[in-house]
Amino acid sequence: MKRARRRWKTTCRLYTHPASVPIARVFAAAAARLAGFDSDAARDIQVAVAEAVGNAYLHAYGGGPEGQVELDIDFDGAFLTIEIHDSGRPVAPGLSVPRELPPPGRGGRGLYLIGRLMDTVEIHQPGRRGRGTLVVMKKRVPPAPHEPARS
Amino acid sequence: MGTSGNASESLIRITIEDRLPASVARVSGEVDVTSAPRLQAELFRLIAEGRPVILDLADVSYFDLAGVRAIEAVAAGNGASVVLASAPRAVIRILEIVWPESPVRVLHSVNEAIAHLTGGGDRP
Repeated sequence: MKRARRRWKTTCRLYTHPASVPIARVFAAAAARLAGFDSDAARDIQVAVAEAVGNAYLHAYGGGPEGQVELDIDFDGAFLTIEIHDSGRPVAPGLSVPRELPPPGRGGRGLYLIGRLMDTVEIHQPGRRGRGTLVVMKKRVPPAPHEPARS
Repeated sequence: MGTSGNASESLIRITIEDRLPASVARVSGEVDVTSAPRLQAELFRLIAEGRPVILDLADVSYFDLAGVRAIEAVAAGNGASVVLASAPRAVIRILEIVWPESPVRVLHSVNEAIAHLTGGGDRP
């Protein structure tokens, strides 16, 4: 088998609609399965994407009608990289992923959950084109048992 | 069953059964931000009837923070009146991460939940 094989990327553009969150998470779960994650890991990814996309609508657009969210998924043969970008109002400068579960009522629990489900999570504000928020999260596909380890 | 034609209709189905002394709400499908409000409303409605509620999650195929928030909202002030039964791994995983100190009991089955509510099953 050739080494430079399994790279691909895909994009989903989401508009403000209640269906956008389920569409986004199901899209991400399908991509995760194609990348080689088992169903449990794909579900973790699905939950993380639902939370991030939901946050984009809730915080960046305040539930308003004009929000657009880009969901880009890139697989390089080892890591699945998911980018979620909104062009809304930046949430809170310096927002980061909590390492500990925040106390009840303090917020940040969704980000904490994303951090627990994914290998890495970064939040960039402003995001692309100097606007909004970009969330970048990655998770590595465990090598299949029969596959020789890659370097 | 509600027949309002919103997006959540297709994602969950809730069936109610009387299992004295409790009401059992059996949820199937995907509990997310679009369907959780309906779940929450149904649980509040059942609580208002005055009986404890067993939320049977055996047929839940997807569950995220929106589902946790719905259960939290109902449990606040009604803590002992709601118990979870037959929660699949996907549900347990999320609860353990974001709500490790939940006062809501998680029982293995509806029968165990009924035993718990009737005073016989309050052991870890």
